[in-house]
Amino acid sequence: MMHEPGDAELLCSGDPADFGRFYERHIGALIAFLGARVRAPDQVFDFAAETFARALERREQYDALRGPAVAWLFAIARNLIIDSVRRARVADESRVRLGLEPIALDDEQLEMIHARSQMDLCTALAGLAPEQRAAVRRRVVGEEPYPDIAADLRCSEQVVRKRVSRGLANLREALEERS
Amino acid sequence: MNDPFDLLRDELVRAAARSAAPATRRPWWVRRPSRPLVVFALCLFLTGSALAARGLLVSGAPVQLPAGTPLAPRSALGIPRAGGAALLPLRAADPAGGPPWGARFVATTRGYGCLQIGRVLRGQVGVIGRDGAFSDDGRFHALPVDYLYGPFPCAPLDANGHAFAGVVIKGAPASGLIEEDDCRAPGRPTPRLSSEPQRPPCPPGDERLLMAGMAGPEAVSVTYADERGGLHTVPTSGPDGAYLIVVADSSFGIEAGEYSPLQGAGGGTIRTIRYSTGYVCRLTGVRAVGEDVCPPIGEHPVSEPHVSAASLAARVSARLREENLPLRYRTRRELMIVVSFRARVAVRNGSSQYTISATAPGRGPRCHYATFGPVDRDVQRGQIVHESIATNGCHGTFRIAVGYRAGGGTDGVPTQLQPDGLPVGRTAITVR
Repeated sequence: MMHEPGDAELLCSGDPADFGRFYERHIGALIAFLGARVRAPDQVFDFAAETFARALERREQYDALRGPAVAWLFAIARNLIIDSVRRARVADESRVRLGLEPIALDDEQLEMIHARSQMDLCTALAGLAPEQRAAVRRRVVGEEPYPDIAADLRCSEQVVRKRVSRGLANLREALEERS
Repeated sequence: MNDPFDLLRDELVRAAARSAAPATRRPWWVRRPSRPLVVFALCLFLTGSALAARGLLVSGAPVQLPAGTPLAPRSALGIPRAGGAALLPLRAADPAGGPPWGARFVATTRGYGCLQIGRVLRGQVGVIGRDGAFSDDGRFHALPVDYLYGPFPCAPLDANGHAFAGVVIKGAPASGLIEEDDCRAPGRPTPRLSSEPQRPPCPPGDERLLMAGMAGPEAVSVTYADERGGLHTVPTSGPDGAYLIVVADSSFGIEAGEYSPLQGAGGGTIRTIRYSTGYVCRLTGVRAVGEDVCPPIGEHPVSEPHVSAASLAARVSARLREENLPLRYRTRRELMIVVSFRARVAVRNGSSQYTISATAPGRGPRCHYATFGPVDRDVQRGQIVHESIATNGCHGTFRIAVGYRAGGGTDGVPTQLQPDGLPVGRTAITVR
């Protein structure tokens, strides 16, 4: 059977194509994550581009032991969104440093980005048990406080924390299983 | 038309080809600081450590339970049983000095055994006013015995009064106050869209990896790996084979502050647990996230009366009602589904429970997934039980199932995610 490398392997590899594979693996989930927060499709694209540019710059800082790569990307994207509010613009430092060419978007492409950013996160996080998917989506993606989720789900914080923890672990396992 | 995401991928691959592999860059907080800074920090550290070592840390107000936290003897974990709490001789040095970490065993009115973790000073378990706790007042704040709010390992007691449980806490602040109300881990931003108040970042280097638990009466020692992979062995303490391991830790990124309640001893970087019988439990769990745990060696299960599905079966009904749903920072008016059924079997402690699961319809952000939760309280035989489920703005038909789980035994708080118990009944309700 062909060896499918894990995320850490792709990031550490000296082969530029491997970063492309890493990108392919996670772009869907990242667009869904951004689509839940950013309305304008051009901004979704900007954030996605800068997130991956930062991931490329910092690829040696990724530690698989600390969580799945998708969570790492979400954290980078979240930082960028918060930063953009303060600076009133989407950061582009990493793209500039890496010399990425700006990509001009026409209306059709904007439509396409909009359609993809509306993708249900359940699809991106498919494979998790429903209760884990809900907990991961609300806590990790939706950033809701544990007590709020627990109140909604009528269960203890401990139950929610366990679901998030297991969901993240399963996400990582699922990604590792691919390799 | 070119897919813009394909164009972006190609750009990134080209950039990857241009950029040589970057030199490993340490985070700024671990880079070599200037000499005056080192001297200043050393002075501060030595002064603080010396004061703490001499027990001169001034005491402040005890830690308060969050407002609204129920302290009911017959629900959730219950409250500490009279005479059921004891400070264990267990101690773990903090990597930055100061009062050591320690633990207190607490037996509760609902038949749970919990390990309350914190910093120990003058014979008390507590927290230090730092990392945002108590406005960084530097004082020692005792944890009341009934403070079971933290992510402490808890499990139903077995027939001999032993509990088997563990916890792994990633990015715990050195203060010892392991909640969400303190500082946030470095690198973990306060969410912009959340109703959470802004919190300051923890000082870098104040994060700890905590592994604690009760491995059982036969457990003798626990071996774990430190950040560099070096192995260390610590003895267990007390009749429950309690252990507590504190390791310096850098940020866990998005997982900082997360914790995993475990259904046994182990997890994290724990590699082996040795027992007096000669048995060695070897764990291969994934570092930091691992939930690989050892079996409950020395457990004597509580005998549970036989319960059949026929003896449980009851009519389940559901109706809609608007309620104020109290969240942490606000109250939300919410359309709730009130599920009702008659309990034909009593629940007398935490080792059994009724469960309610519901499948939410619709396509909203909180719809189309299953909700599952326990009726986390004692129930008398024949009592009509009412539980509410939030509709979360979902429309369509909710399918609801009530079940019953017993003999949770000593494998941790019965928080199993699957409604794997015996069926009580089902119903459905449509929200338009």
